[in-house]
Parts: sequence; structure tokens; C-alpha cells
Amino acid sequence: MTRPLKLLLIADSDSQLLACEALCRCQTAWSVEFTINVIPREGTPQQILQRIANLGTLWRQNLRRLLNNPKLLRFDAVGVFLTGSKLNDIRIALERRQQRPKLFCGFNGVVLEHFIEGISWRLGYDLICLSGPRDRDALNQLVANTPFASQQTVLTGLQRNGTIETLIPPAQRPKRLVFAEQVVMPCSARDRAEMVQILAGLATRSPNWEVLIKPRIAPGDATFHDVETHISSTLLQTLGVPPANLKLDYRPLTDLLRKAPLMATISSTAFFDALDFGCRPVAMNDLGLHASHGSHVFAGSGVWRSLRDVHDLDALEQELQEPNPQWLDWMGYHKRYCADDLFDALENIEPPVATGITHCGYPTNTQSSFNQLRVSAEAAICTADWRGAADLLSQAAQMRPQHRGVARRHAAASCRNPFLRSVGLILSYRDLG
Amino acid sequence: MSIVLVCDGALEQYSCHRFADAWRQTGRRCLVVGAPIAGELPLPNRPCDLTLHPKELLGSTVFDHANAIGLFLRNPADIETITTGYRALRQSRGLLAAPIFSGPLIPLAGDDLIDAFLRRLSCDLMIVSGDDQLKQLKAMTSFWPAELSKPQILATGFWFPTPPPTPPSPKPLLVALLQREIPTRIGDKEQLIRLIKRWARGQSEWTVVLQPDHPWKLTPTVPTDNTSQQTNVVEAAPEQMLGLLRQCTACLTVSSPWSLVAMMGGRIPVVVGDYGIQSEQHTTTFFGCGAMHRLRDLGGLHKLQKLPLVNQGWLEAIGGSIKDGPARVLVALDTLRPATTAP
Repeated sequence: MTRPLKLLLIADSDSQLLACEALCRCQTAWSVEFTINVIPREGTPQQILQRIANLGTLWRQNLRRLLNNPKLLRFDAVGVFLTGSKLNDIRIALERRQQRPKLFCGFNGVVLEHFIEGISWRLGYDLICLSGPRDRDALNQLVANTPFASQQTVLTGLQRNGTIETLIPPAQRPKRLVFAEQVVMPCSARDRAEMVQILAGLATRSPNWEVLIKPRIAPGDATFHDVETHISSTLLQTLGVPPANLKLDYRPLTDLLRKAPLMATISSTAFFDALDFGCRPVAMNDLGLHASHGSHVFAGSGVWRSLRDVHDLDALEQELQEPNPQWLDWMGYHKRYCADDLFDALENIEPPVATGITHCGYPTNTQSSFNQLRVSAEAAICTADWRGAADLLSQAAQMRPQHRGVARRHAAASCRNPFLRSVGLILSYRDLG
Repeated sequence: MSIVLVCDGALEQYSCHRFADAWRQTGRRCLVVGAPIAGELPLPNRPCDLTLHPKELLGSTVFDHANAIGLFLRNPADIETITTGYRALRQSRGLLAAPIFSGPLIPLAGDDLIDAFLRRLSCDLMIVSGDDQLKQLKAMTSFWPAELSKPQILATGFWFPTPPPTPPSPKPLLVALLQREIPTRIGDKEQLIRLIKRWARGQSEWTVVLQPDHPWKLTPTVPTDNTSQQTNVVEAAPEQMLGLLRQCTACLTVSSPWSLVAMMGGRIPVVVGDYGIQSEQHTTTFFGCGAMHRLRDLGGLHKLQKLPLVNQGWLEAIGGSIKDGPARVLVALDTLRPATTAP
């Protein structure tokens, strides 16, 4: 390799940015130049944006502008860390070009639910990054006997912070348990109140410890999921006045994990970050096994246990086992799964084909939803593919004949007169986000 | 051995009768218990042996002499309630509890399968359709601690018998399987029916039967057009669904599990892909079926006969290769009894 690998990473929500950040920070033998395009979105945490800006060149272009940017073709590969339909839009838009960068995508940490849906949006990418053997086996089973059986994947693991050189020995860390809160796991107000109640009980029983709840997002910030009640409100609604040693802490999670001997979570990917920072994790099982909590994934961790039954945090620190190494490996937490494999794979995969492959009887999630048809049509308009745009809008109009916005857009894109088409497109434009 | 089978839906009732018939032939005593189902049925009406609402079970003597109990209830929360209540009652009387088995009966995948399993953790045996389902659940639980109680899992195939395929109808026949709540978005089901009717208008040699896959009221379940009455589009008569599915040329559905009857019979399946692969639409199970098409790509009935048959590898992996489901359950129950009946 004589020149650096030029990668563009595209993300919008905070969890996607965290996945990009992990990739940018990876320790690798490769020389990589990162450009990160953060799609402008209200509520994206400034803290993450500032960190991202230090890791490479930062772009802030919306999807429409980005897909029209001629600089896209200068990259060796584009990594897309977006939600379903947008993953598809970028792939389709780039596949329209004669030459294009290699395309890869991934998941933002541990996949707890919607794996099939997630894969069906990603099939067709040159390379799909997966965490570990668990995901790879599930994907292989899903695509067995289908035309997607040869979909290329690479395991990039969950060791997202690399090897930390200067770990503080556990005995020198302040007595703290960091609880990594998740915005929708659990989701119900009742379960969230119970979770807070259990943490408060643990704090009360452990007066010589601090229990720090690290909120997933600050109040007012946005994430992929809608947040009805911020954890700061849940705390007050449940406890009124929390114990003095139970606090919310908005510092970056890595700063907290670096200086705490213990962390707890229901099912957050932060479990694995804790291991990177020498902080011993425990998966809280007090709320039982529910698919919507992701608890079924962590039940095999070897440290899935009740915090209500813990006598106090001194006792937990004494008796807490290490996570089951076989489970860790299965999930992807092992140094043999790393970003180097991604860069190797990007170097070695065949040059991408210009147009995507379609298979009769296997439409996956491509171009299936009404909104997606509209967004794909916008991508086609960006590349002056008027016929493609008209086709897509015609399909959307068939799905919703009463939708006037789509009808107008369809009429504009179908117009053969370039001047009238331009005017029509300006008048019928709606920002689809 | 007396096996009590409890059900509360048309599919569940049909399946319980099938199990009971097979087990009676081997000399086992069985009782199918459930509430009556209102409305016209897509399947032959065969009432339960005992009409009783599942919520009344614990106050009755139905379970008193059961050696095994099968709970096939649409709401998994009811399974947990009955299981817990039954075991508590038996324990309070100093009696052994019979093993309890359950399952979703239809093939599930992804989150739906995980949810169905987690909601049946209190059972002794969970039946799933195929080896794919078995593998997914075994992988998921492979590192779970031994003390975490979970049911044995057994693949038992589909819930309906699969007679040898018969020749299709001499004239082209499309059976459109209509689901109660899918597609979920308001207006989409009506739009789908309108499209099918439009196709039928253009292809008069085809007969189209609109077949609800659930009990329906006598009033029309499908909207009528303002256009003149079409003679080649009809609503299905009650209790004819299985016959229609086995003789049709093609079967169209979004995600009805009954489409598997047509697939197993070698009919042309059309799984409507327009609504995406989503848990909400129950289409995740059909990923890999090789029969998912967008209606706009088809364009009309005349194209249906050129479509491929189902992906046989997929069909077999989700249960199509298993022919001895009832016998497998019996063997599993016989092995379970000594180990799990202690109060």
C-alpha cells in the first residue's frame, strides 16, 4: 500500500456516530484518511460532533447534496452507518454511476433486535461489517439457499477502544458503579421506575460507593429512538429525592469507565467498552427475560445477575466473576476481530459492479416502502436520472393515489421540457429529511 | 395417558384436532378444549370436544387427570397465567403437575420467534416448526446459565397435513389470502384488493377468490367497488380454504401462514413484497422464500404462471421436511414426564 486508504463514513444519529468514532480510533497497521459526513439533524449531541471533528475531515451535508457531490468518487470506500431506507438510497444512488467507491456498512454495536430487517436493508453492499460469530451465523442461516448466500461480510468485533495503554489499577479507582442507561431498554415507565428503584436501593446499601447513572443522551438531545421521559425525570418521579450517592453524570462514558471499578447495564454495548477500560461489567437481570429489553442476549454473559439481591457493592466487587470468555468471543469481543480485517477486505474485494443485482422472488427491503420510493426518486433526480425518478414516483403514486405531493413530483419529473421540469421540480420540492 | 389440548383460535383449534386425531390412533386419550369461535370460518367447522373458555380452566376439573397439557393460545400471557395457576393449584393439593407444552404453531423468525420463546419459558416443551427455528433458539440460549429454566425445544413441522399434490385447477385460479390486520397501514388492504380486482378485469379467463384466512362476519369483509359486478372475482364460501389452496394455480398473500398449504402443494406462491420485510407485517418469516414479489413488477395475472415456485430449501428448513410432528411430540412428552412433574 503506497497511499493512504481514503474512507468516507456517513452517519446521522448519535449511535451511528459512536460506531464511526470507534472505527476512526481503531489501532491499525493501515494508513487511513477518514472523512466523516454527519447528516445535519436536530439534536445531534455537540459533544460527539466535537470529538468526531478531531478524527478526520468533517462534512455536514444532507443526503441530497452529498449524493450529488463529485468528490464522492475520490474515496476508495464509503462506509454507511445509517438507518434502513437511507442505507438503500446511498447504495442505489452510487450504483447508478459507472464507477463508484466500494461500499460497506455495519451495525451500531450489539444487535439486540430487528436483525432480519437490518440485514435485508444491507444486502447488496460490497461488504457488511458484523460484530462476531453470533451475527455471522445468524446471517448465514438467513441467506442459506438464497441468491444472497455469497454476501461478503467481515467481523470487526466489539473491542471498540483498542488496547488502552494506561489503565488505572482497580484498587486505585474511586468506589463507583457506572450504570449505562439505554433510552428504550426497558421502555415502559413501570420498568424504568423499577430499574431506578433497584439502583437507589443498591446505592443506599452501599454508602461508601457512588452509583453514577450515565444517561444515554442529555435532555433535549436526539437519538435514533424517541425518548418520552428522560432518565432525569424518571429519577425524580420514582424517588423524589434520590440517595446522595446516586447521581446522574453526563461526562463521556469512556471517562467514567476509565475511573470506575464496576459498571452495570441492562443490555448496552457499553458492557464491552467497560472491558476495554478495565472496568468489570455486570448485566442486570432484575427485570427478567424480555425480547424488547435485549436481556436474552446478555443472559449468557456469565455476569447476568440480580442487583436487587446484591448485599452491597463491596460484596459485588468481591464476588463478581469475569464474563464467560466463550460468550465474549461469540459476541465478537476478542482482539482477533478488528478493523484491520475490514481494511484488508476492502483492499481485496473485487471492484464493484456498476448496477446492483436483483433476484426474482427476493426483493429484500429494497425500494419497498412508500417513503423509500420517494427518497430514492430524489436520489435519481440528483443524478438527472429523470426516467428512473419518474418510475419510482409512479410506483409511489400507485401505492398512495391520493397523495398530492407525490403526484406533483411525478408530474414534474416526467416532464420532457427541461425548463418546465426544472420549474416543476422547484415547486414540488419537499425536504424528506 | 390423557392429553388435554387447549385452544382459542381457528388455526389453533384446527391444529389441536389434528394432534388429537393422530394421538388417538396410537391409543392415547385426548381432549380438545376451547371457546366457540364466532363468525364464518375459513376451515371446516369442528367444535372442540369441550366448550370452555380458557380463563375458566383453572376453576374446572379438566386438568385433574391430565398427563400432559398443550396450551395453544393466541395471547402468550394467557399461557403464563394458566401454567403458573395450574402448578400452584397442584402443589397446594400435594399433586404432581403434568408437563405443559406449547408453541406458536406457525413458523416464526427473528424477533417474533425470540418473543414467542421467551413468553413460553414456563413451559416444559416448546414446539417450533422447523430446523431453522430450532437452530436459532438453540444458538440464542447456548450460553445461558444452567439454572435458568427453559423449555425443551422440538421441531414438529407444519400444523396441517400435507397430502400428495394434486393437479391444479384446469382453468387458472388465484386465491388471495386476506389477513385481518395485515397490511397494517390504514387503506393498504383495500388498495390491495382493488388492485387484484383490476388485474382480474384484464384477465377474464382467471378466477379470483378472495379468501379471508380468519373468521369473518356474514357481512362482506372486502370493500365493494363502484364498478359493475365482476363475475370472475368472488368472496370465498365458508370452510373451503384448504380445498381452494390445494387446487389453485397461484396463491397471493402478504404474510398469511396458510399460504404454506399452497406452497407445500406445489402451487405458485406470490408473497407481496410491497410492504417490506418487517416484523410488524409478519414478513420476516418469508425472507428467503423466493416468492416475494412487488405487485408493480408483476403487472397482472397473466404473469403469475411464469413465476418461480417456492424456494424448496427454505420451505424444508422451516418445517416442510418434517412429516411426523405429532409422533415427535408424543416421544418428547413421554421423556419429559418423569423429569418435570415433581411439584
